[in-house]
Amino acid sequence: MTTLSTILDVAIGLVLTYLLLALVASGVQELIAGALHLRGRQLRDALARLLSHQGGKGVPDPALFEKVFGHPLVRGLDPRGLPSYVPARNISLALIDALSDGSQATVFSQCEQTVAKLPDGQAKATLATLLKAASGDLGQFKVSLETWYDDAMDRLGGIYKRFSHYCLLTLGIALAVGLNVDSIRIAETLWLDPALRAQLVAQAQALDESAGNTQNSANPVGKAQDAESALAALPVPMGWHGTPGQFVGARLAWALLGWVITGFAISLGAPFWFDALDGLLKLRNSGAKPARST
Amino acid sequence: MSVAYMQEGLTLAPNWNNDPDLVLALQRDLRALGYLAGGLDGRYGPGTTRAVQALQYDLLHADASARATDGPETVTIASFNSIATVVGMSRVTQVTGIVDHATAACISRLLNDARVPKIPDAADPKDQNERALAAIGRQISEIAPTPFVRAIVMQESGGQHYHVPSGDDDKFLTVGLDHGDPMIPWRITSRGYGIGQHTLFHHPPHPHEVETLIADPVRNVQHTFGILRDKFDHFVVGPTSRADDRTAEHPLLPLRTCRYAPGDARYLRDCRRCAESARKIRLSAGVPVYPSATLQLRPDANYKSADYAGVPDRADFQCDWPYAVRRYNGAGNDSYHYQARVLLDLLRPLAP
Repeated sequence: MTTLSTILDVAIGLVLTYLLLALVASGVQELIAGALHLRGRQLRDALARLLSHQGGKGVPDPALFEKVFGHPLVRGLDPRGLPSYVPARNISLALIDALSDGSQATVFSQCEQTVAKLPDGQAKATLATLLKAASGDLGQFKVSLETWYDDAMDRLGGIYKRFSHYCLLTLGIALAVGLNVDSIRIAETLWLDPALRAQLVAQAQALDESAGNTQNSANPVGKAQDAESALAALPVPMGWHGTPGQFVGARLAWALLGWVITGFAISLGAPFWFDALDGLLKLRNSGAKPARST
Repeated sequence: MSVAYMQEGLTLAPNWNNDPDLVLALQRDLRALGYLAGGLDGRYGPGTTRAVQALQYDLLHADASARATDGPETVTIASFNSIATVVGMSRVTQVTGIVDHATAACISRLLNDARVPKIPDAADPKDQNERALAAIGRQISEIAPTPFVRAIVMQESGGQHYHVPSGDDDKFLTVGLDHGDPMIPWRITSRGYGIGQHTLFHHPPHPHEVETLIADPVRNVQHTFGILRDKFDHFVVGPTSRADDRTAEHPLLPLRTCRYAPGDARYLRDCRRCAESARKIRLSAGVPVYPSATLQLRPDANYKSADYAGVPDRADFQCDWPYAVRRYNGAGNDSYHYQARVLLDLLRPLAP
């Protein structure tokens, strides 16, 4: 029994470390993405692909794309002109506006006439299909446009997620090496030091309990700053205070393995480690914590 | 039985000192034979003159060689003139617009021949018309939308299967006469019969046509349903012909029967609601009938005073019956007037 609870406590210590590191990595990643306007660029490129007329190869119909992306309802959403999020409603309104020619005909009819004159390609084919399905009902056309755009944005979300994962992995390994966070060394230390284990478990519990308040904090950079100070105070062995001369031969190989484990662990992301921590703490307390009665 | 105005030496002529009773008798006979559309007033005016000219033209030319495309007549009008020589009487030899003995004799022969069906009349035309309109309202048709057909009927005949007397005694079936030959302006090229103005190019009609398609308002209107459907299926987006207003306004959409699904109670039925929810436009002088139409196609091209306000926009209906209605009438400037009037009529509440 003692062995089992020791293993559990070591795991809790490790998970707490990973969680704090993952929070820091997410914050850094957001900083990088923000500085490069990554989301905004991706959204702009996705819209260009949607409105392209050469089999979706990304060559936009210049007039149509410019009219939609340059519309105050789209570009106006961001002071730099690269909004990272555009509601479907804005897109459908901007698109219908772009397709209207201001003639006396009904708006639907104007859209039809413009689409009929577009060069053959993806944009024309898609818009013509949506118009046919709407069969003269402008409201229906708007709804179809919004669904079409939302579907495209869902795919874009998938692309962004993959990017995030690789970015976190790179950041994770950089953090592991840079701060010398060696999972194996930490596990070893915790295994041998019951006082340290108890301290970490107490910290984990405190964090888990306050989670209800902090997890809703929307700003990932702010969370990262909190996590950074918590990490600095964490009593686990990390950093380059020891003698660098130790890293030779088998010791170096073990350290490398420890860093890689840490890097991959960070790349799983903060939400994953948060759930893991919560699960482990519940297991340690033998069953779920009863809801506190008031 | 001979006619009252068939007397040796008697001539009825325009602006002549005619006996009004005899002229009225002549007008009734011309009406019954399908040469006069109305105006039974005992005065030998331009309308009567034109009717006599039309009859005389047919007596001279409407023989077996001049068959209409919609089937041969059972008997030709010209044969009633050529028989005169056989029985030793004088023939009609030219179109004069004057009723002489020879013309009166031909009228008499036409009236007495059972192969020449007479235009029917009604004892109580008003009652008959109301029953006819009610019967159309009750029609549940998958062929064409009833409200459109009803609006067409109002446009064609004012909803009058039988003429309702106004200052005269005309209770005959409504007949519309088309003079489609610019070279011979009095020649009648086709006739529209009854509430739906069922068109026949041959004359006289077959007796069975009079019995069924012409005299019976319900059968008459069913014919309208059929023709409207044919226009819808073949003359809006092809294959026979395309409606230019439809091509301009909905270049991409396939043919749309109704915004509601078959089985829905509103399917081909609730056209008034669609007319009401469509945006309203004004068709006024100088404005092309559709945005990219040529300048020749504008409401005042034929009628200087043309101005229609509050017309439901045909492009806003979510079905293609407004375009089919125009093709029901034809393709030129006038068809746009027809379309505007029918669409306006859709807004009118049904009589209780």
